[in-house]
Amino acid sequence: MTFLQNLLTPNSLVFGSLEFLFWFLPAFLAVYYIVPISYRNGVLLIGSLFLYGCAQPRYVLLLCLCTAVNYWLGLRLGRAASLRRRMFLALAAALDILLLAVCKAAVLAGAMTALPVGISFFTFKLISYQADVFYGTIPPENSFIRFGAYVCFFPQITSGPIMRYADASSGLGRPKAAAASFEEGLRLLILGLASKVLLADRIGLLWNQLSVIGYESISSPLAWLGAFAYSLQLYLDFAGYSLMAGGIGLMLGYPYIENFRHPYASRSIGEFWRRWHITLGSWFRDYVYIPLGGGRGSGALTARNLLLVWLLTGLWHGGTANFLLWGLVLGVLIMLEKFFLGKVLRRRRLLSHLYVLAVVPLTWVLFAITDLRQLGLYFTRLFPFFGTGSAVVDPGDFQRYLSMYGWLLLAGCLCCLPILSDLYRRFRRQTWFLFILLALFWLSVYQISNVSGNPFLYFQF
Amino acid sequence: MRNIRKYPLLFLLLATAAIFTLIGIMGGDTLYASYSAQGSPVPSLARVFQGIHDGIYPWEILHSNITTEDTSSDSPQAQSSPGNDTVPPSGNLSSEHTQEDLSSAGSSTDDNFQQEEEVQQEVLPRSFTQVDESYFEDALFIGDSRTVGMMEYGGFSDNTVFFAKTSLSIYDLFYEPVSLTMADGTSKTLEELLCERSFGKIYIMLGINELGRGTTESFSEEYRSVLERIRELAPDSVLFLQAIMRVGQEKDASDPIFNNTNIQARNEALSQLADSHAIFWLDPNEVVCSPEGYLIPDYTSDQVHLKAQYYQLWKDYLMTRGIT
Repeated sequence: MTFLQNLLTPNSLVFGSLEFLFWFLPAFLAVYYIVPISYRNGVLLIGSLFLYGCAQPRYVLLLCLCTAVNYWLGLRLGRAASLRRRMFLALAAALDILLLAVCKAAVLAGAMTALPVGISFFTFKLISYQADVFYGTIPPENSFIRFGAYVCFFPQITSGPIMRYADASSGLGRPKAAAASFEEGLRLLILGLASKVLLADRIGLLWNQLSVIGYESISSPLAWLGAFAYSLQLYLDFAGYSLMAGGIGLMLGYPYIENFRHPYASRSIGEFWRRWHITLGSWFRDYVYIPLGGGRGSGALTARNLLLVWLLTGLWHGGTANFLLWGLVLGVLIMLEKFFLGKVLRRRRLLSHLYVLAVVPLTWVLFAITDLRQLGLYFTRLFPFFGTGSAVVDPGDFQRYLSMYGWLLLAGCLCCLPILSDLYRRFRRQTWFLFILLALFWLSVYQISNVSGNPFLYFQF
Repeated sequence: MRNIRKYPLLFLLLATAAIFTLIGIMGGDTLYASYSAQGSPVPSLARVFQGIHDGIYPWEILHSNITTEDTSSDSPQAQSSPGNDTVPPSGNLSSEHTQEDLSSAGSSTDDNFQQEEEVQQEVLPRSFTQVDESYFEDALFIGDSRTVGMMEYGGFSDNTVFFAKTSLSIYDLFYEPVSLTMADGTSKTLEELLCERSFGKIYIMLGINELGRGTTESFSEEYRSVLERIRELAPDSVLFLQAIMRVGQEKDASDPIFNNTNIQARNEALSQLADSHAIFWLDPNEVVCSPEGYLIPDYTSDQVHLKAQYYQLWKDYLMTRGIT
């Protein structure tokens, strides 16, 4: 009973929480590997729903209903004659998109305080499933348990990766991890945890601090430092989460789904987005951009498709105007790269890296500040062409924050280097690396215990 | 055994987790007594790490079974700050300061009456006057992150000293070394600072971090002894006791601890500690809060701290309340 009480918090779905790491995950893994192989998908479905129910008791029925309706529609779609297939696909996609849109609108209108956790991700998973069945790349899933385990898969339910059904099916078929991939999963879990807890969360304090000061009062160097710090935080947080999700997937016998491939080492914005949140980018490519005609038509058609995809990407991330602006800017940049900027960038190596490292943080500022007036204020600090205004500015603030966050930011930058993956692959089986991982894990637990375990320590002024 | 070689990381994790859990459980009634399931339920191994943070190391479990007397204290900080009881209870101290101290609530009404009469004859309560920036040249500011903001954005000269640090509280005020903004830039404890320099006036604002701890009574008792100690170390300084700054409306509505009801209760208790003679009560909330008592929305983005440009309001307020 206490086990249940320990899990009944919104926190338990967060991989970096003590509830998840020390209650749910060990208990779930034990049950998963004790029951006979044929029951494992069932255990996975029940475990996933149980965890979602603990964290979001209000929406677990919505998740079940959505899964059941899509299961049924998928089956009908698979068996239907060619004419009615299109109708079933449209019906399924419309239902899923409607659900997502209604929830997002409700949040915007203030009728709901927050979106049901993971709804942006599981609805996209479902749409990809229906489309893949429609195109015949996969057969419809006959077993509700297997289908449910795929949709509600707890390692991915909160923030992806948006795993395709074809990738999941090998895991659903033989749900047992080999020793080597179980250990690899643990390694990734620890690395992801450390990335989030030891770096992202701490670097994130800098960005928070800027809004506390008020954007009108930060110096221009600090505004740039803030943009870089936020870019690092976002990456270390999301890529760290994705590593954990991939690691847990491996431990359950599923293939590793890559979501990030050192995006900050890219040489164009287009490339950046093929290496950042890969499963989302490929979703929009396969289910929106290519069906619209992609880049095969005239230049105007390609431009229209790109802009549409990027406006939708903006909308998917959030409903406020800054997200539309963010999507639009990315769409225009990628369009420019496609038509002429790309040729220039390909020839100049240094320039292309500088371009990405300067422009991407600016796009993240658009992404981060939802209030347009505040956003405008931040940009006047980034580009102080019109003077500093009348506000109080401490010219020494950059120096101060650099001395406070310098080491964290440096560590964060090192984590963006592609060579890290090569080093990892080379040394991951060494004994000394084992102890580094162990130290990282307990350091992270130290950090979590002292931040989340003690409610008062978190609120310090 | 073959499995250990196949799953080395898993076994290492399980073994270390078992050790930490064991320590956490064994020390549950002794070493970690003060960490018992307060707030969110955490596995017992988390206590071990919370302990490390407070300076209680796991190997102390070996001794803790013998000495159990230090487990009765009510808070982690109390354990980790040795010499907490070196501050004498206020009752004893006030006798040394009968001449100045009008605030001693502990003394009987007869005493108060007598004291008042004595004081009336010697010194009259002093009143506030408008002062200019130069007033702060020999001032010391003591406080938490809000005072840090004042230091960074108040536009003070280099001669003004700030003993301010994020999360500083009255409980660790005398134990926490703080890096100062003076020329030598070293870290000092408050005692060291007050012993080596004298200040014309000392401003203090603490109390928001303490809201989650103790009662209004225990808080104001502790605050009183802190003030006594400062008076002892800096008998010639004018002491300005500032009200805890309130929070914004959203914070007030959503936070069970850091809300204005709690702040108000403690401010009322604190205002009793001032005597308008040696210790002066100041309430900067007058200039940064709406008539309803919330921090004005435009002045804050996190509901707790002033934005940089509004520290000037607080400073201007202090300048209207100088004691010369």
